[in-house]
Amino acid sequence: MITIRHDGCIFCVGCSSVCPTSAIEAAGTMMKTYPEKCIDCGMCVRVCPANVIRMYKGVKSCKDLPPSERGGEREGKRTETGRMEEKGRVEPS
Amino acid sequence: MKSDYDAIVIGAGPAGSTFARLAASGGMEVLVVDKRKELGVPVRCGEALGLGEPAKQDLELPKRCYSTIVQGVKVVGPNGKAITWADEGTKGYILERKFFDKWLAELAVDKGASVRTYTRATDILRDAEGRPNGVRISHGGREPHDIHAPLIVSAEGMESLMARQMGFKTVHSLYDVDTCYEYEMKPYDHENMIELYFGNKIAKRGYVWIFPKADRKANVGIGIGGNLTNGKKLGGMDGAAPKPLLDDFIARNKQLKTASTLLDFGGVISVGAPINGFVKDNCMVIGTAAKQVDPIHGGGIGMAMESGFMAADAALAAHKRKDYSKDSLLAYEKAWMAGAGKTMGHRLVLRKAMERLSDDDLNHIFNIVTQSDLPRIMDGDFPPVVARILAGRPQLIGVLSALLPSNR
Repeated sequence: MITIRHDGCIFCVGCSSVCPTSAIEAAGTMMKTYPEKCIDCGMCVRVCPANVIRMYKGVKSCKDLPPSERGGEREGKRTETGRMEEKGRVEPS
Repeated sequence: MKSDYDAIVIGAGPAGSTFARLAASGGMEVLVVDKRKELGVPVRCGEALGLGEPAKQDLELPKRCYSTIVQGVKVVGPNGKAITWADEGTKGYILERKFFDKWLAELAVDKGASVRTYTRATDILRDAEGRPNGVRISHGGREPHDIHAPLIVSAEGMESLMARQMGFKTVHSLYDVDTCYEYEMKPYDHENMIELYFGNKIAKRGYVWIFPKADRKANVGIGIGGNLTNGKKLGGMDGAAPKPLLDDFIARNKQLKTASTLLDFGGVISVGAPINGFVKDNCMVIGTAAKQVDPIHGGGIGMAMESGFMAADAALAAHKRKDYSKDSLLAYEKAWMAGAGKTMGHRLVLRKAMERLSDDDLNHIFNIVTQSDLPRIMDGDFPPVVARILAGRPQLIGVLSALLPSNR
């Protein structure tokens, strides 16, 4: 299955236009994915101009994703503010 | 809400709204649904439209719908050599899609069509014989309900999921798409000319474009071949996406490197052949959903409006006959193939030849081609130019022979 980092998505529906199984569609203001339809071909990952799609081969359910993906935010991102960094985070004194 | 119409159009872009306007003014009851909350946004393109296109349908563009009028185009080769082409045919609008799309939809409403935004088509309904006879829609993700009509028109653009449900093969292959990233930037002092930068180092199988806009603004974008993007992104996030290449280009440009960005947008553009067959029993596909996009410049707005126009003609005739079968709707496909289809054929051949050229070859060609050649090339009259290019560089025969008449 794939995950889309929604805060970086520019909502161009490019992923949806190349998906051979219609496993991604634009719904409301977000891209919606159907993991059960996904065949792990990676077309969407390669075409995404914003580079926000990642693929997890063989994973069929959100429960099996790495913990960093499940929380909606990824480890080690936004280190400039120190807010998202999980290891070695500098606590304000 | 009414639940029976003569035609349901999915998508209120230039194609859908044009179809709705003309079909409604001919007496059909038309419903247009669009899944977006606001028509025209998010913008997914460079927003250029030929100056003559609106006039073809007796429309006059109000000032709010466009930012500026460009005079022509400046094509720049890998070594920096520029060819300028400015005549009546190259003048064009740089639109404000947000206002343009809404304006077109309003015109359709003025003629009696109904438009519903934030309403997503989720399924195609079929009658006992399996022919489409309606659409299941949902407003803002709420309880879906069914709307029926003897004619379903897909004007969905790149996504075209309902067209797929109706049996059209609208999935794009990576080879036949360009992936694009674009900024609106300011300040950029331009000469009211579209600027296109070619070169394999700048944008492999594509180009960087600068579309001037009013008030020292410009749309600066890049398109690269979809099959050339790096597979490393699978699993990891470090790939050759268009954005880093565009950032490189901007960093090298004297004016742009200090300019601000006012908008980030992007998209995927179809640069392949149109789908095989635009009509089936009780349904049609128009505009970008049918991959009616110019493979050279990636423009689809003009084609979409033209396609909506032709489809509406065929639909009205079918409406009069009360016969919405494939044969009855086929007039649209025939009209399109005889007009835009031919031009698109030339350009597809040209695109396929161009993508095989190295920077060195491109430099050679830019030295030989003159301004007067460009209109001929775009019209598909290749032999005189090809002959001159081959005279200086015969080894290109393998690539360019596709452009010679015996091979076409």
